[in-house]
Amino acid sequence: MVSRGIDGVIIDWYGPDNSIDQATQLVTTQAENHPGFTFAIMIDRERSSGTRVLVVRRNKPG
Amino acid sequence: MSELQYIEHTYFPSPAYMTIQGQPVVTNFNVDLSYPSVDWNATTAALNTHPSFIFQNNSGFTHVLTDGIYSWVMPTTTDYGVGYPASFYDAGMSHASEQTVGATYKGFNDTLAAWGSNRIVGQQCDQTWLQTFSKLNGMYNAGKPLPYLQLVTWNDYVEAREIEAGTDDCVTILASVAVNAL
Repeated sequence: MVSRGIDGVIIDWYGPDNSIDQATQLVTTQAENHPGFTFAIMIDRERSSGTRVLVVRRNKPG
Repeated sequence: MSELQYIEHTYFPSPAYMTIQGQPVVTNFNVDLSYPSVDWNATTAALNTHPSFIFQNNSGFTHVLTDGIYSWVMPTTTDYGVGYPASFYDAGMSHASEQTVGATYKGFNDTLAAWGSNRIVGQQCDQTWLQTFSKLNGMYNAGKPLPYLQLVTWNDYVEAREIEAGTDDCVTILASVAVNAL
């Protein structure tokens, strides 16, 4: 993602203590290892399976 | 929404967590639709850190606690969803002090999803992808940039809108052999 010019991800998050939450914690570690790359949470209580990650381009400093 | 307390505890402390003007960003998907009784004020009052809430679609500006809105693919329209962005960006421009998170997407198809309802936005050989860019490029520029852009999505394969695998521009290569030449 970084090599493609993506600044970060918004993670479709279904709540705590499930596989998506575990994946989010892995993303956290990866993002911290790539300075400038950020992540955020999108709370989604509508679905309970699958993963979708949105990517973000930023034009303003955070 | 005890989830917000969990998010605050688990994710906000990360130096990689996205912030806007120092506030950690939290968005939500269809919470208004599925849980209209959510008391955002009470939820936020239970937190130690006030998030920057980015709500969904134009109506997101109606929330008292809104810090902005984000757009999403509109699979129920018959115009490949490209009419909706104009309305969305108009709303964003009329709330210049709030954040506007635009969106581009290559298409949508939930016919294979367990929750699917046969909604399809065709890729049109990349034209849907390009048209969503054209919409925002027609309203924003280097002097007036769109604050944020979402690429919807990276890996939502089940709804056929993943860009991780690229887009389909319908270009094909046909190889043939004539004598010793390929």
